[in-house]
Amino acid sequence: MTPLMLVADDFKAPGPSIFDFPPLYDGAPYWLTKPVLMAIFGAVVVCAVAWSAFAKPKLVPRGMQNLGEMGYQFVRDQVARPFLGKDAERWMPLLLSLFFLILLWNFFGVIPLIQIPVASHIAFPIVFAITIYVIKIYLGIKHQGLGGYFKNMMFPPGLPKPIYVLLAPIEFLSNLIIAPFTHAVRLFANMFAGHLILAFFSMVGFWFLFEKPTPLGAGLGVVGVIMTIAMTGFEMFIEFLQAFLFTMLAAMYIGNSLHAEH
Amino acid sequence: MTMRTGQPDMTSPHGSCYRRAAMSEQERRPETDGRDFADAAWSVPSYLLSGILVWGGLGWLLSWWTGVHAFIPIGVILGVGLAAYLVYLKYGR
Repeated sequence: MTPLMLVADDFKAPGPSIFDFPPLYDGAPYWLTKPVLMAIFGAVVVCAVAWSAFAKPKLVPRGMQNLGEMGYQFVRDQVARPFLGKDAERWMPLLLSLFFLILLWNFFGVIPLIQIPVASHIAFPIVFAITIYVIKIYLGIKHQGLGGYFKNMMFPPGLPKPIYVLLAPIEFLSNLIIAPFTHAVRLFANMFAGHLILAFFSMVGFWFLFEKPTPLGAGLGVVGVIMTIAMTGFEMFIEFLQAFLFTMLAAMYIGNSLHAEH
Repeated sequence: MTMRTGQPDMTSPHGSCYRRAAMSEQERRPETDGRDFADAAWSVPSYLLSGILVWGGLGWLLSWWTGVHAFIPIGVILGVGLAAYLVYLKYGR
């Protein structure tokens, strides 16, 4: 056996257990863990940023207001307007908060010492997805009527009647069950997998360079370190993308409820 | 228009940064195109999955009742086909 094989035998790749956190301190309630603390911390930071950016707006924005308005314009022009049109401004408070909070929660995955993307616990994206789901159905029924909403959703106009029997169940399942499900799972799975990948490569680097350094293993350790750095950059892109997508889909669902498609 | 220049109008309490009148048709069109495209892009996987689940599920039920296992693949393929047809009807025409 080569030295590489020998140490590789003891190497344990990080698994789903890296997402399990004990209560913060002795006697803390079982739910009060690091991800929960970080979720609250993120919410407080978003409130503070929004407050310092928008509480006392100046004619010429500077500092935090500049940053806040850049974020506002990005969400409004890229997320809200394409789907909500002239209703965009009304929904900006929701969409902006959603985007900033998810973005920050995701970035927690690569911020040293925090290093846990909050959305890698599926409960957090589920709460957001359910919120959007309730808003979507409420708005749909309010703006299109109870019958109209389901009719517009399940029966696209201009088809022979027998076809509806085949297609309506697909529409129903797609819009009311699969869509909210994938809405939450997409964010969760990306954050979960990304965190696992980062943990794996940094573990490889740590193990083969520091824990059990061997001549043969050192090369592998260097690859681990390089991959950790590369994947951290890639993760930051994914974290931004997923925050954007989650907000974009929220705007899309709201927009489709306000105005029936086509 | 102040919206496009990146300098929001903060002079009035209801500056255009927060409220704005209806958009002109010209201003609106490219955004509607974007909406259609994104709608299609994000709905297709959902439709395909739903088609497989609904009709594959019916096929599974049939195979369970009749003992003919061929109903499962028939249902799945029918579901994919119907979902693709639905996508074509909604976005392809």
